[in-house]
Amino acid sequence: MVPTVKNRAGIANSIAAIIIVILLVISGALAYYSATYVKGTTTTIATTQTVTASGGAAQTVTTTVVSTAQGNTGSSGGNATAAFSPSSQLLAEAEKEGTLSVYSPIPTSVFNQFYWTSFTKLYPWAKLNFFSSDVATVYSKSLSEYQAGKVQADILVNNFNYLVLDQVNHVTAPYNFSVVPNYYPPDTYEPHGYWYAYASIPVVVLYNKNLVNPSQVPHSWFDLTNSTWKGHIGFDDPPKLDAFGGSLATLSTVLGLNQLESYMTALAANDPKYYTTSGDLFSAISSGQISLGLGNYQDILQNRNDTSVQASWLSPTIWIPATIGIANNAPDPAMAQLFMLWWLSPAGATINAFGDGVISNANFQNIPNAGIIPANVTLMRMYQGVTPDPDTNPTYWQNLLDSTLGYTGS
Amino acid sequence: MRITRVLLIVIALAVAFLVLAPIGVILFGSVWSSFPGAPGVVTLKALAEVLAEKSTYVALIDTLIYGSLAAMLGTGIGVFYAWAVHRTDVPGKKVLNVMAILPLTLPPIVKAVSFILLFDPSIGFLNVVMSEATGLHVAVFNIFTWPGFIYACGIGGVPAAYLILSPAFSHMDPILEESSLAMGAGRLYTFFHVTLPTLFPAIVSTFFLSIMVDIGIIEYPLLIAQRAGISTLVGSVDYAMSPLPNFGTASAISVIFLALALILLTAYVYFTRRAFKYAAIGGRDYAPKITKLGRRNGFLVFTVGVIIFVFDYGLTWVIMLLLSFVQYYQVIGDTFRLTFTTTYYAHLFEGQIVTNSTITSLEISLLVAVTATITSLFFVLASFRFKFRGGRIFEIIGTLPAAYPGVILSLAFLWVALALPAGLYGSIWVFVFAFTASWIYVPIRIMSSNIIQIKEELEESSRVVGAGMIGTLGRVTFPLIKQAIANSFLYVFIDSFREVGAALLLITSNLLPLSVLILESYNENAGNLGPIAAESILMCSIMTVCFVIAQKYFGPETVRGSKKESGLLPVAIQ
Repeated sequence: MVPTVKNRAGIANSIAAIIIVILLVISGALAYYSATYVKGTTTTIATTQTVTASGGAAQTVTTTVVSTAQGNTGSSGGNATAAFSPSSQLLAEAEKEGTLSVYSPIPTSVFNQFYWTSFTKLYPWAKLNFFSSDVATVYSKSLSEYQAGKVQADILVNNFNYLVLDQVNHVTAPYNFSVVPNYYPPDTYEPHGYWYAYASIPVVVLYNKNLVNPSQVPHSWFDLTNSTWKGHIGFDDPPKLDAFGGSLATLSTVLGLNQLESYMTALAANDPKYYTTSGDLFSAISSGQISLGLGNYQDILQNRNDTSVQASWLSPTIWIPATIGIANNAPDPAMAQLFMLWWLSPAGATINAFGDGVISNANFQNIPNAGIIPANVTLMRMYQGVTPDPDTNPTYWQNLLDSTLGYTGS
Repeated sequence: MRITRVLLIVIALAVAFLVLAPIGVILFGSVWSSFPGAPGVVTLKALAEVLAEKSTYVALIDTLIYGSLAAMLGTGIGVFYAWAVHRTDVPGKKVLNVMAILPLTLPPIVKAVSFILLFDPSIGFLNVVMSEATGLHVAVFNIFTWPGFIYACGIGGVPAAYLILSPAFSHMDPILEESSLAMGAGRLYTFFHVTLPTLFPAIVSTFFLSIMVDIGIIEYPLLIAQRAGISTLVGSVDYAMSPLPNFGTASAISVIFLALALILLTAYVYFTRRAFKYAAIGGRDYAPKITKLGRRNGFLVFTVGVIIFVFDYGLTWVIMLLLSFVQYYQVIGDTFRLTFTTTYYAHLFEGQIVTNSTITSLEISLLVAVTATITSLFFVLASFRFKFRGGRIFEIIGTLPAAYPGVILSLAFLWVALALPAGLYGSIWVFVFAFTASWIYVPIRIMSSNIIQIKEELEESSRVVGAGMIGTLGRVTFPLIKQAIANSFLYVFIDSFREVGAALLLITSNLLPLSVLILESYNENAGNLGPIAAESILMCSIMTVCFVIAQKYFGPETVRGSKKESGLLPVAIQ
């Protein structure tokens, strides 16, 4: 017979409830105390910016646009819009297909709210299938579907190195848009049309202005080897060949492999901390875990409310193309071309400007809120001219990164 | 007899379809030079390379150490909660019951980020608060250490351990304990020499499963272990999958996971080979022996339960709540710099996407909980109640998906799905299949640890008086394991709500659960944790409400105060 403990249990439940409430009150008080303790810190509401997209709808944005192209053809936005208009035949075929499938690391909510809303203002009959995940998963899924002969995607949006791998593995098909060379710099698209860099992501030094003395802010790649940063510097995981690993591979064309090895060994001497993504790195710098690191300028644009993290431009500045391509054997090829034309047009660039938070084509004028890379910065596209090619032979680079940096993975 | 055969065929097909297909794909991938489905040749190169690497063995040893210790921590705490709730008169049973399960509502990625923000030596919330309070600028906590990593991994396993152990604790026949006490043994002696050995299969089962689950979770190794200098096998799998997915290497490492799982499961079967020895629920009238703790000890046990809960869930929840209201979490010179905002919650309810995702999550979780629970029930019955040689193979096979890291299992599911006839790929049934196969291992463990304790004399009596197999199952077996069934349903419901696991690659825009929304936010901008925190708090709140309602109607009888407490026989055998 189980003894009845109703009364005691009732009291205990009350005590437990009180304890939980007290815990919550204490946590709230701690948070309030923490927030107000620092002299001069005030409670504010995050502000966002409202701009008008090409479709005329008011959009809430938190990002900006930077131009990559160092030469400007001076084409106006209006002319470009006409130039990127689809032919009536393409439009008819696309309407017949009706549905577009997109695989991308862009979050579903962002894609629906900005991109698809704008696109369907022009083509209200269009329907969407959208798959979003991290860059490696998007690549794995599209590659698997292609190899199984069950391609579902029409459009692939992914990091540059994955679109290059897609090209190598025939996951994407060449679609040449004759209008593109008139508006885009030559190094922003694959000559046969396997991929197009609709935006770019400069690699910069991210630093916490509260922790780094202005006079010590690194401006050259070798400044990062300064022993001042020992234990205070961080990078994204080098074998992923993203901001850090990809930059090192690209620097080999400037430094040569021998000097690159010495440089990497010097970086390793600063006992860097490694983070899974550039976003994690930004978070670590912002919170004060580390003082600075090498990251994507995209993170600055996405977190403009966080003024504690600043960017310092290096010379040369390496930029990562943000790329888009059309799937090989795409089930809806006309829809894919229609979407691609829109994406590369001034209307698409405007949405990309604040939807993706990185760089759009400088040849399109009057893109709202466009930011500019400093004029004195020398730009290098990631992996351009690097031998051996990191996209097709990542093992070599992984081994080099491991041997010089002492990175052993997790 | 005919029905039994039909059932066995159905179960055999389910086993082949749900579990063996993805496992077969992974094994094939380890000896195939390319992606499965792509042109290639059979080769042992990847396996040989993995086995020749010194780092593989370092990772294996580290993995075994942290897996065992984390499982020990999770199982130990699970035993404590199950004992306190089901075998004592501790005050506040309902609260402790909730505290044991509630941590399940937070996804591992959210917990990992929270642990860092709580216990980072330089900016950890607790360290900063303690520095401020004491004036001593010393980091008391450091998550980037072996103990920190084991704590993070181990504490996450408490809810599953508790749910697996609960039915066994609540249904234990007290006759042996009473005999021990009657012979003059003390309570402590009786607990360690009678109670624990009787519950041995359930505890061993929980411990081994915890090891398998802990070493397959990727979030803690990626965010914590790496900076703690700890090598992990699951980290090696992730390493092999980026930037260029090297499926051969990843599969080869996964073979080690499979081998480990088989060793653990074999050990479990060996230790419980005389299942009847542990049978404690028979036809005799009984009520579980309740230890009277007394006021002081009762309060002490309750307090310990609360402290564990605070470190398992309370602090995590508090830091997430804080993050959801600040623009950026910043610490400069041992001092917080926080700017408060309500933006993230305002954005949460802009448009329909969060609402739609919440409904989608509820629908998917409900569907998965039903299918996984029913499938698991068949597996357990086949293992323990359908009399044929080697029947326990079903129990083992059903547990194998737990051995694989999600990153590799999700690809295996994708490939299996791609091999299905045209039209099935992309349909809801593929989701159901992947979800079910991903989650059946926990219900199997929960139910098998319960059914192993039920003496077959009850079912035999039923058959003697003329009841058929279905009648016996419905009127004898199911009532005795209904708590395990309810626990299984609850676990799968919550777990599939908080993350999509291995079914991630099969998600489409038509099916966007809340957990995927959180993951997308993290992938998009890990630099700003505010939106992720707000979404997590929302998800956690929804889960908590569902959980409380479920507990009210389907919770353990020992905490609901039902007929069981009156000492009556279970309804089915009255």
